[in-house]
Amino acid sequence: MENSQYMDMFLDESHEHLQSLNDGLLSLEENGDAVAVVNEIFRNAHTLKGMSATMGFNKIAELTHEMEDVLDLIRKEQLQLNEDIIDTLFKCLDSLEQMIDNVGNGDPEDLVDVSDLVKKLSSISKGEPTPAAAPAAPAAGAAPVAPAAGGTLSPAALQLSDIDIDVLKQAKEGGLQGIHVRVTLSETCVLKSARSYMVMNALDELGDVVKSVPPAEDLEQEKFDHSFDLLLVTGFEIKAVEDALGSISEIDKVECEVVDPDAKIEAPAAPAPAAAPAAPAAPAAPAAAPAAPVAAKPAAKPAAKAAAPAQHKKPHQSQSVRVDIDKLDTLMNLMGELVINKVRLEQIGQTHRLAELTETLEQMDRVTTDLQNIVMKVRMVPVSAVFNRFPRMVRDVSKELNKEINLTIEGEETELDRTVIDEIGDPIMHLLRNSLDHGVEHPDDREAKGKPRTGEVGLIARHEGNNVVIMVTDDGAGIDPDKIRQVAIKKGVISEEEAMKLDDADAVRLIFLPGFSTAEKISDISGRGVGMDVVRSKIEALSGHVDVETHINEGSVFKIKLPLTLAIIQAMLVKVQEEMYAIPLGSIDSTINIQPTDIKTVQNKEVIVLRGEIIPIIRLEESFQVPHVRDANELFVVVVHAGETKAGIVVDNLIGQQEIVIKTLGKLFTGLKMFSGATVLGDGRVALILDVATMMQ
Amino acid sequence: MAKKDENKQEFESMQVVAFKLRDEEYGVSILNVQEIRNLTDITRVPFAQDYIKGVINLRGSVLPVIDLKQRLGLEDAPYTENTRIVTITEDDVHVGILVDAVTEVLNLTSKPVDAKKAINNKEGMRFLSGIGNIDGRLIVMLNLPEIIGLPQEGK
Repeated sequence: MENSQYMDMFLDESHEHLQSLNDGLLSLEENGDAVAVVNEIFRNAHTLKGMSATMGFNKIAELTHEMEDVLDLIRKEQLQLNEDIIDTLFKCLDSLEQMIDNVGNGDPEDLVDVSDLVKKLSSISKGEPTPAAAPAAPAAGAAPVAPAAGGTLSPAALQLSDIDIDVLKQAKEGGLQGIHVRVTLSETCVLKSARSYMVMNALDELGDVVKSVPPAEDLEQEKFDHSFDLLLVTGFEIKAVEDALGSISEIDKVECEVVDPDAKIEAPAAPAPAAAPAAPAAPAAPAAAPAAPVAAKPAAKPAAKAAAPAQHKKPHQSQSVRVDIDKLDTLMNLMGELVINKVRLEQIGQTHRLAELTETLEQMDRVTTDLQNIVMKVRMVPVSAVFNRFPRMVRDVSKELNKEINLTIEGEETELDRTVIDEIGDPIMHLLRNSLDHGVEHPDDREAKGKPRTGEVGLIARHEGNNVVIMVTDDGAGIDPDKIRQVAIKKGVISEEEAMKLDDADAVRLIFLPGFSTAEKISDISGRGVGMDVVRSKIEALSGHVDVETHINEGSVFKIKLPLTLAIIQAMLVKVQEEMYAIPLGSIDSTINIQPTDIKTVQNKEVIVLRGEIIPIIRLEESFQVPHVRDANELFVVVVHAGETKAGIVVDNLIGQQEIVIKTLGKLFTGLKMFSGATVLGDGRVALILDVATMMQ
Repeated sequence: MAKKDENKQEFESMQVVAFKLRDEEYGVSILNVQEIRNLTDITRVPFAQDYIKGVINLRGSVLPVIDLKQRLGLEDAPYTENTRIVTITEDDVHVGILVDAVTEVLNLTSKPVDAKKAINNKEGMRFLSGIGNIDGRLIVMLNLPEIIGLPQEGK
């Protein structure tokens, strides 16, 4: 296909648009019809339509076109949103996603039959009664909320709605002011949309453009004469605005005026009757009253929310660059080489005591550290890239299960390495489904227990030292350790004596063992017995760790701990006889120096006592069968932890802390779980990196 | 390498990197060979199969090294100044093989004899693909995929 060079871009962008459509619809469902959100999703649908039509995907274009019609009616408030419409729109998104995936796989788009959806949409947009929509639609459809354009007079030109005024009032409380900006482009201006975009961009630097007349998508399509009106909420004075716009060429005139929300309060009320001609069959003044609550109620909440996304999204689009992930990987590899060589140079400098070299190296060290940080940052992706598909999933699953669930997402701006992000989606999805299916009880059961009907499920990400912690919480039934013990014994995962020896916390951790699922009946949502152990192995493959904490009838917390990055880590280098090993600093608690006599035995197992704690020890020399060269008269113990358990690794010497670049051991060592990789040291030798969690098993 | 095809079709000449293990001469196709390196520090990898000598640093990446004599069941011999690591690529797997000395690059003009006919040793045989004869000088060709092997056991 001749368009194939644009295919990747099309696929990427379509997915982005679908994602924002999903987000938008969800927020509509929650908050009612906030105008800004409807506008946003309308724009998304519109762009998607344009893109797919350009690429020649007519089915996609057709479906999005029908969606657009429906959204347009909602936007113009001629159609009241109801559950039926939202469900239909969600279904459309699913079909669209499938079609786009098909297209991406080189299949024809029409593998998915959308004719039913198209029919349904067009019947919705024609106002044919869909079961639930019928009663609501006419009432709201007739009542215009926003006073329509009353003329060219400056204040009325902005068509301020109650929502806008609310935004202005909030802005005023926050010490900001609303400025009405009218920009008149010169008559000869050719690329009007480009100019208007530049204006928008310039204003975005100063504050938030909360409203534009004509609307932004019309500006993009040059559907305006030579002037347009904008409402800017900003902390700057008019002068600054005029200066900012003055630098853009082909602009004839910039007029600015401060808009005072308090003074405007009467303004929208007055033009309301006058708006009648604009909206056909709109009842006059009295009708404004029933309409008011519709607008006013959602206004208070969404207004703030609606303003926020607008301010986040716009600068983003203009300043980001798409880079192939392979290129970033190469960059990272080169960075790794550079770090290795830098360390090597440092060692040469130290060995030969070359002051000049050391000085230069210190400079270089600063530069490479900065460079490394930036390369790392470039690879970082906020976890929202994974998280934002979950609200939709939770909505669908909870409907399917007939449960009432409220999902709270926190810390979605927390950043993780791209490689980690790609892998954690499935495990988190699994944990979430688990919480929805087995954790949160049915509303009736919840009521019987004296809990609110709606279950709370949380998805929380945050930094913790050099790690990122992701938690999936629920306030559901919790996990009964006794039940776990019984199932584990029945399934032969552990013996009865072993089960009795475990304390409750450890018993609950049995769910992470292979072949374990407590779900009494297998459901679509989760559990076929391959659940938690898959989550665990996936997380551990990422050098992470997963744990669970639970209280019966209070809920459970699943905690995933992940390293920030998998490429470069801080590690402690240790020496055993003549061999060198690296232990990731993240799993080290402390290091101590002991005499051989400090090692005691308990039941034939060697332990040490550290601050009252008894810690089992692992002698690397023995377990790795290191060739014995000489006797050591003092020993060092590196106390490491994996989860809650601790162990002491006995080594001959501590070399020091160093930044190491992790290299895989390659296919030949696939079965070797004891090492998470290897690294090249400054002297060119290779040291193996211990996988502490595996060692302790 | 498509050695089977070569056996079937009319044999065209083939360049072979020849090296010594004790007193015998072995060879691999030059297309599999990346480079020949002097012996460097080899880091032992505990729990790995015993024929894997360890790993070395090959310009910043980590390369496993196979002790070929051990793999073929030959008697061990100490390293000498002629000891080399031949780095080879087979099916996207990179490994180094440890040899006593690299002799030369030879041009094999006649088809190697099928190893099964020539040698009556079951254990060693799966590692060999044929025997080349250059004016009475015998070059044992290695079956690289089998020598590299896939890891079956862990820990």
